[in-house]
Amino acid sequence: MGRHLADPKQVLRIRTNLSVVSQQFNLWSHMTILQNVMEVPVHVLGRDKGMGIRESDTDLKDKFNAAITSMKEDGSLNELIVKWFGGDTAPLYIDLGARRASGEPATRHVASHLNFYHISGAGWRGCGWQRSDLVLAHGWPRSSFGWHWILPDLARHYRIHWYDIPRFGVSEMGGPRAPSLDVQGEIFGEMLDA
Amino acid sequence: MIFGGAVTLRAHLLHHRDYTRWILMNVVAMHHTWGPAFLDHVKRHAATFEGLPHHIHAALVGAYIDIDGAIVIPLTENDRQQLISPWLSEDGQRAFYAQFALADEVYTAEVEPLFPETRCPVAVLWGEDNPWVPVERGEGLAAALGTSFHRMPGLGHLPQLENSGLVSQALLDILPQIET
Repeated sequence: MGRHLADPKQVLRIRTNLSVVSQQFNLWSHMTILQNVMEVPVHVLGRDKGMGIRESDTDLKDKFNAAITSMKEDGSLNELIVKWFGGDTAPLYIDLGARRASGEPATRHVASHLNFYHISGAGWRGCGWQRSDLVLAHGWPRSSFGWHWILPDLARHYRIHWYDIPRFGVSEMGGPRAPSLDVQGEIFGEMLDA
Repeated sequence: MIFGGAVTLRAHLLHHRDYTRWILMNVVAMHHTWGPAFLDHVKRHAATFEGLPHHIHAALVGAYIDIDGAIVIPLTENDRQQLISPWLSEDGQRAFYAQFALADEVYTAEVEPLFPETRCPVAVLWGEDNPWVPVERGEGLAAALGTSFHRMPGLGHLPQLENSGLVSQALLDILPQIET
């Protein structure tokens, strides 16, 4: 155990002039690397944007954008978006089997689970929008994967929910009877209630 | 899209789920707007298709996803593979053709008379060059719903994979415009 020798006020002064750059933690995927690095000086210390990093630092921006593009191309961005946006982003399996047991009609003949993701850009500040929910319903014969390019842009403004319609994507493919559109409509309704 | 649009329409108009606002993008939602001739053909012979050898089936899914006149800008190879892969397992193959067998205009025809009962602001968004469901169909849907119609020039039926920047911009522009 040591004894504090420094003047606490002086320590505080020094601390406010430190910069923190996170390499993989607490980064926002919808922001450029420049915006991520500027987040602390601009929003916490209330500095003018010009005091952060020079906008002319285009080399850095180009490298970041190139990296994002290549991740979009190989599909890895999809997983990273989910990882980046925090704790509530893991695929959530709604157990339709359990709901079936409770006697709800739409779930009678369908798969035991469907794959339902949600992400949010929680922590995003300064956009001035009321954060609201946005649900994406894909078409046939696609899957939840189809949204992966636009998720980062939308997550900046909305809490996004997207899912694999039962018998599509990674929702359960087997089972006694494929659900027709009437049942799919009911399932979508149930999902909104969940 | 045949599914997403009809699913949300049914949830809203038949199952009483409310939305704050709603965008229908390239949806198949009205009578006589159902897809290409291939759909009718598979529908009539679904059991035969279920028995196709794996590699023929894989090629067929690929063709259905991007060659069947659905898109304008080609997909990246990875996007294409990701869309195809869920249908390649044994269950996947069965599920793929089961969807054709289940496709029935009755599910969209049933909600069409209810369009005037829409309870929230709606916008219709369309890939202007959508070869699968032409832009006129989108205009017709917008007219039937009494909503605004928005075009995305140079895009087809899968705009979110053809030019994602244009799609997210369109969505982010339109959503606040139709706020209640």
